[in-house]
Amino acid sequence: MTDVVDAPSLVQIWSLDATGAPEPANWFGGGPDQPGIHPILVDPRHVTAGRHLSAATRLIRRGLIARAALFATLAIAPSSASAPVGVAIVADVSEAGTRVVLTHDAPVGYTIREESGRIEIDYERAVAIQGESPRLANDTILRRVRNRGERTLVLTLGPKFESYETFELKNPLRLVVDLHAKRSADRRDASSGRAPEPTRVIVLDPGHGGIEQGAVGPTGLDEKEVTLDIARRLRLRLSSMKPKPTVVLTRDEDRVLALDERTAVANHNRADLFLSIHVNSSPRSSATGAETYFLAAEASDDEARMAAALENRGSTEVAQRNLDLVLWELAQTQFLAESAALAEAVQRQLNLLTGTRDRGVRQAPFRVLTGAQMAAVLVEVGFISNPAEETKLRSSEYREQIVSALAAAVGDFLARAERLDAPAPVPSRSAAPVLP
Amino acid sequence: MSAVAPRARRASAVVAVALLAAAACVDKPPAQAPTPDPLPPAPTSAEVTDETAGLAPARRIAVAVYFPSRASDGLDGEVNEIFDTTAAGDRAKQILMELISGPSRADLLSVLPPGTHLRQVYVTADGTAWVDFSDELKTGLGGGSFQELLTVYSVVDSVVFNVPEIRRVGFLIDGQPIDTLNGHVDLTRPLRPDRSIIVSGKTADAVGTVAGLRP
Repeated sequence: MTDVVDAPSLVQIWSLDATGAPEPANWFGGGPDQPGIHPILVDPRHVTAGRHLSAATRLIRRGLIARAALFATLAIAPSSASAPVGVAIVADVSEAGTRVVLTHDAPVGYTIREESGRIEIDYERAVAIQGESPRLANDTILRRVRNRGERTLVLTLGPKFESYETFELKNPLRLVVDLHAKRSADRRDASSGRAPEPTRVIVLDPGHGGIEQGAVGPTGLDEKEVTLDIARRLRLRLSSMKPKPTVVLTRDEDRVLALDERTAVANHNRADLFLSIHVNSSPRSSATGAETYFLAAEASDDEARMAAALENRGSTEVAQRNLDLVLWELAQTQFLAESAALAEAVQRQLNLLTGTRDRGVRQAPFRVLTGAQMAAVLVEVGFISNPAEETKLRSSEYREQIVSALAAAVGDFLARAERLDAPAPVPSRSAAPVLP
Repeated sequence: MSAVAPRARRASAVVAVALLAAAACVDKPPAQAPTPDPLPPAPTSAEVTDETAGLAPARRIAVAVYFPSRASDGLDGEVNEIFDTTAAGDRAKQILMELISGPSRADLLSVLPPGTHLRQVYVTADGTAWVDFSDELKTGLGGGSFQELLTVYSVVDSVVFNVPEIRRVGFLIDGQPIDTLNGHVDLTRPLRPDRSIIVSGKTADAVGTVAGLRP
C-alpha cells in the first residue's frame, strides 16, 4: 500500500508493505520557492527504499520540518483496525492564525491534504468526533470542522487562510494543525493604495533566572538581573520603532525557564528574530568586551542523525523521541545565514555605541539557539567577572548604551530582511533567504 | 535499502549514544578494546610516577592538556606525560586526571571546579568518549558562557587532540545525561573538538610528534 501526500511545495511518498509494516520513507521536494530542489517523481513505482535519504535530509533542512515530522510519524503509528478512534477537537483563534488541536485516544495513521478551500485528514481507520466541534462563529480562517464518512475529517477554510503546518505531540497523542492567516499585505491601505508592512515579531530572551542566577560579579551583581533589565529596556526602546514591532520576552520576571522553552516561545510566536541576552564571565578576571554568537552546527552529524532516526523508527517510542530530537536539532541549520547577519549587526553596533572591546562574532553549540526557526543569536554584552566592567554594567547609563546598540542592530537586520524580501514577497516567515 | 545501509548503520550508532548514556551505569565499558586496563583507575600523576615507575616497561607519551591561559582568552596546552596503554579510555582517563589536578605552569589557570572527580570514561566503537564526572562539574561551575566554553572544551580538546581513537566527547554527570553545565553549551550530544578556542598551537604540534596526534 502506498500513500501519496501532496502539499504545496512537497510531495511525500510513504510506503507500507503488505503486512502494514512501514518501509523507509522517501521525501522529494520541489517548487518555485525551493531553489536547488528539483521537481519530483510522484509515481510510487519509482520509489525505491532508502534511495533518496540524503535528498530528504537536505529538504528537511530547507524548512519542511513540521511536515517531515508528521509524515515520518505516519509510519510509526501502528495500523491495527478495531473500534473507532476518538478525536477531541479544540480550536484556538488568534490574529496570526487558528490552531486546531486534534487529540486522539489511540494511535492512528492518517494523511493530510489540502483541497480547494479544505484541509482533509484521511484516517486509516474509523474515527469518531468526541464532544462538541469547536465554535468558530467569527473565524475567517477556519469555518468549521466536520466528519465526512467514517475516516475523514474536513476542515473548511475561510477567505483569510494562507497556508498550514502540522506537527504531532505525545501524551496524549495530538495532531496540531496551524492555519496561518494571510498577512496584512492584502488589506490595502485605502489612502496610499500601498500594502502596510507586516508586523515584525521580536523575541528577547533574558538569560538565566530564578535559582539559575548565571554569572556573578566580584561585588555580587547577578547576570540574571542585568539580562532581564536590558531586555525590558530594549522592549521599551523597540516599541518606538516604525512600524511598531511585536516584542515578546521569554521571561518577564525572575524565574527559571528551560532553554528549549525559551526557543519554543520564539517559534510559537513565529518571530522574525530571536535575541538571547547574556552577560559573560571568565576565570581570567581581566577578560573584557562583548561578543555575539550564532549556532555552530555540525552538518554532517545532523544528516547522519536524521538517517539514523529514520532507520530506527521501527519501535514507536524510541523512534519518535529520536526523530523529535533530530528535527529540533536541525531547526536552526537553515537559518544560519540570517543568524550570521544578525550577529554581525549586533556586534557592529555594540562596538559603535558602547566602545567596549570587540571580541567578534563567534560560533558555539549553544543549546538555546538549537531549535530556533528564525535568525537567532546569543549576545554577551560584557564580562561581569571583570571588576571595571561589572561597575559599568551596574549603571543605567551603560545599560542604555547597550540597549541603543541592540535596538540599532535589530533595525539594521530588519531593514536588510526587507531589502531581501522586496523583489518577491513571500507570506510566511520563511521569507528569509534560503542558504546557498 | 542496500544503498544506504552502511551509512545508516554508522549513523545509528550516533543516535544510539543517548541510549548508551543511559546504559553507562552498567559496569561494562562499551566497545572498549578487550585488553584489561593495566593501571588502577584514576591515578594522580604523582602516584603514577612513584608507584609504577619500576613495575613495568610501560612507554610514556607526551600529551597536551588544555587549560585557560592567564595571558589571553583561550586554552593553552601544557605538556604532560601519561602511560601509553592500548585502551583509549584509559589514556583519556589519565589526561582528565591531569586536567583535574590543574596546571603546573604559572601562566595557566585551573578550569574544572574544585571537588570535581572523574567517575568513568567509556569509549564507544564510533569514537565517542563518554566522560562521567561528579556533579561538582555542574554545581561548582557558575559563570557565563565563556567560562562554560573553556570548561567544556578543556575536556573535549584535551581528550580528542591526544587520543587518536576518540573523535568526540559526550558528558555525563553522575552517570546521567545532561543538557548543559550552566545554561549555555549543548551537551545533549557529543561534541567535536574546537581548535579555535586554543590560543597556542605550538604545544599541540610538539606533542603531535610524540603521541601520534591526528591533524
